[in-house]
Amino acid sequence: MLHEPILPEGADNGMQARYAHTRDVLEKALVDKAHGEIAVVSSFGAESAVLLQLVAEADPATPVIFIDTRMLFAETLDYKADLVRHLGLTDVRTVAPNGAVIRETDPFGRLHLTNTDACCGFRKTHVLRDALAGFDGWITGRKRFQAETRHNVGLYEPASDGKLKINPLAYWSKQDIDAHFVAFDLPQHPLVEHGYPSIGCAACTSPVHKGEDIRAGRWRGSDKTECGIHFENGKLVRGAAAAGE
Amino acid sequence: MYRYDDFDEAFVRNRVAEFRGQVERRIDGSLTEDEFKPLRLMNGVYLQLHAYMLRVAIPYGTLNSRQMRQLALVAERFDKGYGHFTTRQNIQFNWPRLKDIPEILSLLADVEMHAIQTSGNCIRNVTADHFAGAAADEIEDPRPTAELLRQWSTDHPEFQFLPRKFKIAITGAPNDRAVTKAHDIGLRMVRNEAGEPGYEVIVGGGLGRTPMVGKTVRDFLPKADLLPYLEAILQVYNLSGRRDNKYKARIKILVHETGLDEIKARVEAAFEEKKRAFSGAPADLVSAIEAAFAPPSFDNTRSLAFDRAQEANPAFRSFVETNVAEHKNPAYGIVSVSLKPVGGTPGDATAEQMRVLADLAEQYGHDELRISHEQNVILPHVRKADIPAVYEALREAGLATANIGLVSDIIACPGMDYCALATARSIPVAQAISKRFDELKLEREIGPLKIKISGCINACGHHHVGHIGILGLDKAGKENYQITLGGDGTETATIGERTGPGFDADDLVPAIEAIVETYLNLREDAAETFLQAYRRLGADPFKQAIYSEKDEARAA
Repeated sequence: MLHEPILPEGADNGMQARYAHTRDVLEKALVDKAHGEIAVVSSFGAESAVLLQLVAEADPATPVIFIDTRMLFAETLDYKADLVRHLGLTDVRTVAPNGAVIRETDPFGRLHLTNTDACCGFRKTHVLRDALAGFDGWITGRKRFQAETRHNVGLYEPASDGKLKINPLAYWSKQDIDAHFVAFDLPQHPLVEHGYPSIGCAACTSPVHKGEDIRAGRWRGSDKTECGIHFENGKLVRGAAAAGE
Repeated sequence: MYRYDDFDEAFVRNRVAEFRGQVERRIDGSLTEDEFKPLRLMNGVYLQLHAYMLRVAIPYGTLNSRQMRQLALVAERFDKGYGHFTTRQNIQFNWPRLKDIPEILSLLADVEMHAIQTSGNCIRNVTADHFAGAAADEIEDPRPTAELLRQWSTDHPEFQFLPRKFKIAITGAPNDRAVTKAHDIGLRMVRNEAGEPGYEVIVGGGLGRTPMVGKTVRDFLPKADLLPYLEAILQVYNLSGRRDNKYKARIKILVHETGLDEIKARVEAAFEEKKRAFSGAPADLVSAIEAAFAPPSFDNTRSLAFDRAQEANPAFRSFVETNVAEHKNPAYGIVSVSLKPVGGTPGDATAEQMRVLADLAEQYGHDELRISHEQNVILPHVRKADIPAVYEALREAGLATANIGLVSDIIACPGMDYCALATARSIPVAQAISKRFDELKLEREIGPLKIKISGCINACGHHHVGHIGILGLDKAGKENYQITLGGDGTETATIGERTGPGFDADDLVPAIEAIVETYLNLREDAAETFLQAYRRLGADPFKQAIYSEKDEARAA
């Protein structure tokens, strides 16, 4: 059951509309089950609280998948515990790479130094693939404004594996996100105040300086921009607009 | 970590039962001390100045929390509440009663520990780099080799009555933290041109009354050839080593008197022979041992807390600077816990401290502890995110002294406070030096400086390889201390040079202070360490400083 949202003073109509639309998308997916069994995938990162709050509002028993790559910030693990309690989520599933696989693939946690793709692959992409078995689709928190490479994120993205990817916040702006944190008094990830607007694995996340893209601190110093869970066949999927450019 | 198999277990238990009988017969008088002596020495029991001493091996310096707690229990129940970690990765209990020793050995057997071959003219506890399996610079973990050598050498029938004791050390890294060049045999893991791991074999090193830097007898020995090759060295030594004079009986004298080329030729000939009959350790045994030393499952979770605690707390920052070394895993650190508090006895740990260390190993350190030849305890695998918490716990237990590698991180032998062979005290000297430099507040300014103190010419305190070495002698009934400079126990091993006449106990600390002052005045900049400065300047300016006219009278 959804209640009327309390929006901050001065919120414009555009935001009202986006917000209402997002709620509809989530209700359709999580309450009406219009697309089958759907899970939410969250990193419990800098902006994750917004999507999770909206999900909890729709149905707190929604399955939420969190990938503990065993390379995260301890602050993220603490924040996850806080946020789950705060929002009353009841089905958060922490998945992690298998210990035997870690021992075989990356016994000393050094793989990220030489091959980030391989590291993301076994710690994240494969783990998520396994965790999503049995689901018809998944909800992500990706937004267009986050990075140049995300400019074409669509609301619904059918993927070749047959699973529907839903990005309910695709059209949200940074201002929308900030306003939502204020409106719902959501706790901040403790690293945000230390200059981390986007947070992934600790080894490959650095603070972002003023004027940089908010994902600039991810895999800094390399061409890599995405971990791979949003790739298809090893390639970043771009929308039709990008293809025509 | 290696776990005893049924054979190891039965072997150790049988030895305890046998020794229990021997002790009973000694106590009821059916064995004389002379008859008992060789029996007790086979089980690590010495007769010291005031009491029996039990020396327990900590193979390759590795132990888990359960073993550490058992050592605490022994210290508490059968000793005066503490134990003393030695320069060869052993622990010594200084005050056990003879009648209790079988019970102690039985408690140790419960946790897969023993005192076998910690004494006598046999192959002693094989020591290894205390950062093994953790150090960032490591080629390969040396401990599977050390464990293989432990199994091979324990009760090896050919090598129970060598001319003299025989010590083997092994390092898996190019930076030698195991003093391999001061051992009878030193093994350094290296790779050949094809990239295969093997050993550089060094022979004939040793300290004692005739210090020698070991010499390379084989640049590259394939791993599979290790045991037959070592048997060849030991056979040559066993047959040719001198038995006429205890002081000339170590292999270093044989190598020195025979010449390296001749020794090499004899060893290679013996090796050819050995190899025909003994192809080395079976491959399945080697792989089972290697599997036992597989790295723990690391959790690479990091935290800003590690950096922020350093920004907020200068004491913690100092601790990290000196006591935390680089780990293979970038999310981890190697934490060295100093057993050298200002004014304390180097290497002593109380039962309570042992338990704190065991708890920390269990909670934060993948249940592993190490004992270093520098008489400190190491937590080899601690997540950086956890180091602030570990530091706080150590601080509360009085174990957070931030001095690893600095002037107060002194190696000292037990000296005349305990040892029957000592000619002077060494522990009070170490205490006085650490107190003085603490007063001066110069320790961090001075930087890396290793002081090592021995209370007699047997050099258990490794003074020959101290940047500053101190040797305590008896001079007409009075303690007198000689100083050596420029010693080095690493891969660039060097025997220190004697400065000249010795000093009385009262004059020793001022002399050490004058040496350090001279270094501070003459170094090119703060980056030039004491050893580097000494190598550039030579001994003269230091000698001048301690034998200036004013001091001449007392330095006679």
